Amino acid sequence: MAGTLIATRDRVRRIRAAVARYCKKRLGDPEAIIEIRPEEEIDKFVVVVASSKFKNMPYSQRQDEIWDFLFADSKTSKDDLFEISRIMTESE
Amino acid sequence: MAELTAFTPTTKDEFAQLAQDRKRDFDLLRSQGQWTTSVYIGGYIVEARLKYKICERLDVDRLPAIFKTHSLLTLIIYAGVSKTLAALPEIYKNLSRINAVHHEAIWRYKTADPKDKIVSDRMNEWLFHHQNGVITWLGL
Repeated sequence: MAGTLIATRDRVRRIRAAVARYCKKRLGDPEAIIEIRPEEEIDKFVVVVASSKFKNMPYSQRQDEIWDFLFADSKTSKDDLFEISRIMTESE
Repeated sequence: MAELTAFTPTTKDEFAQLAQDRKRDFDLLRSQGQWTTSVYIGGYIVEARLKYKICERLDVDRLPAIFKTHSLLTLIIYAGVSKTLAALPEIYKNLSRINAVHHEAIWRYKTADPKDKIVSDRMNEWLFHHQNGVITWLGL
């Protein structure tokens, strides 16, 4: 049980770090707010990214950019990315 | 425990038809410049097709009620295609993008906005890209 919890915590940490790299390198917002929470029904994670930089970016462009960055990022494990069920963006 | 073996009223064949109907609606809305509603409809093509595939895989005429969900990733598991999908990152990306739209209440209540053409065009690609479209992969 403890092993599972540690593995989950480590995965969340790695996903957060990967999304933070997107926010810093591509979005140009190192201060973006990143929340990672469990998905309903399924053992995967929802990523929520809030940044004012999204304000003038179409919804679909946000979706395309984040996913393309994450899968192209050599520091990010593909196994971790398959644990993300969806990415939500907010232009706070 | 009876709910575990209950079935929805919708039949396997109706889910197959529903997927095709929603595809027709999606195309029709786009041809009429109804971009916002087309984005909302797009995810239902995938949802109906996956529910059909679950019926097919279980060899049942009606969808078991326990699969009454809008979560596309959950339906992927029970349609028996999650392992195949794990080897197809481009399709996984597109499915997750569609799943995000499908979950967001904003698309249900959004009034028509011509700027949503961009999103509708991308949804069209996520669904029907000749190589990496989710519906191209699932069949219709």
